[in-house]
Amino acid sequence: MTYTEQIEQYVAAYPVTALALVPTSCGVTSLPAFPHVEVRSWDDEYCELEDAVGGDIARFRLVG
Amino acid sequence: MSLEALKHRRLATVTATASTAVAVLDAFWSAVDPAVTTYSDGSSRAFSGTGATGWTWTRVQVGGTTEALYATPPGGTMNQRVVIAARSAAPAPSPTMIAPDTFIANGLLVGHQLGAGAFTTWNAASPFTNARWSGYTRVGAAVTSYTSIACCVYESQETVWIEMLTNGASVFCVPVGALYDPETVSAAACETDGRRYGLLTPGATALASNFLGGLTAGAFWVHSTTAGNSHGYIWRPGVNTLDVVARYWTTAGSQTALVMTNLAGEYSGNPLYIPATTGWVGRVREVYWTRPLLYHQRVETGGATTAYGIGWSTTSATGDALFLKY
Repeated sequence: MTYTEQIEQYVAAYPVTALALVPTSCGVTSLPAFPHVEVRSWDDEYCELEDAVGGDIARFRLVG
Repeated sequence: MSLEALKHRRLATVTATASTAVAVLDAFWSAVDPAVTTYSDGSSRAFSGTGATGWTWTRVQVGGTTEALYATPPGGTMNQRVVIAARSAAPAPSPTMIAPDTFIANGLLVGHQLGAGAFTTWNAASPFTNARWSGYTRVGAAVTSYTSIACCVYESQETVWIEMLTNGASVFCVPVGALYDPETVSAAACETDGRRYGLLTPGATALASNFLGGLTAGAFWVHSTTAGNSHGYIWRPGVNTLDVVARYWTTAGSQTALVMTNLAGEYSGNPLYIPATTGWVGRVREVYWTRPLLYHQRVETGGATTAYGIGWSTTSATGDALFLKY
């Protein structure tokens, strides 16, 4: 599974996601299957999903 | 040249007093508490020194409620840690999970750290301050869905096997730690201590009779891309990246005790070799595919324990089994 697919799998599990913070190292800048979700890179090594009011929804680590 | 041989020891099994996250963690705590100085066979549980197998476990309570346990090995240079955690609802911040698993209320979570610094808290982004935290993978369904849960832990010098028997019939097991011997000292293929580290889970489904052949759920050394299924993760040497296992062999699951026992009555001990999707990893250390065994079956030779069986059933000695060399 690509990094994009892994992130999209989580967004699908948490439909209220509005923002995905992703590691810069993963190179993902957009989620084609979820164009309404903003993607931002950060220096942390895990991903974080937030809802429209900035509430944390989930954190996860990408593999591979 | 092979690494130091691991010797496995089994702690006493403790049945949870209730099917709750707290009761299950407290049952594990009763099993692994550093006050426990002997294993289930009466042998000594040493926490330091050459060949010691006793991991030092610490209970993490928040407001008096147990939410996690973490374990520090008796030796080694990689500062590894193992964490098991569970909570009735997601805490804030939400614990970091390993893709593709998601947090499950009252579900048992297991994670692994290399290069640990000081412990912060179990659901922090970096529970041990430093990077190389795996995040959590799931084992079993919500514990509240079971009527009974027997908790057990096997320890070796560098690995732990965390086991639950649910409803007296279904076996879940999670091996964690320096599970693999790459049989090389090439820096790119091993950590600085010559080992490869990782963890496995059968997922939300108990070990199946063909758990060395299954590819999706209730199996070992496979990685499904669906949350709650079987997963296998291996640290890429020297970096903060987890690769996934890629077992290329399968068992039929139909092997009988007869054909897995030699003419002298000795059980077969087939070594296991595991790759990751990014390349070859190595030999599983002192764990072998053997003849069908029952849950918690002890293998003896001349009255002396030689191995502990990892079986999928309490009643049916059929299908796949592993033994953990004593």
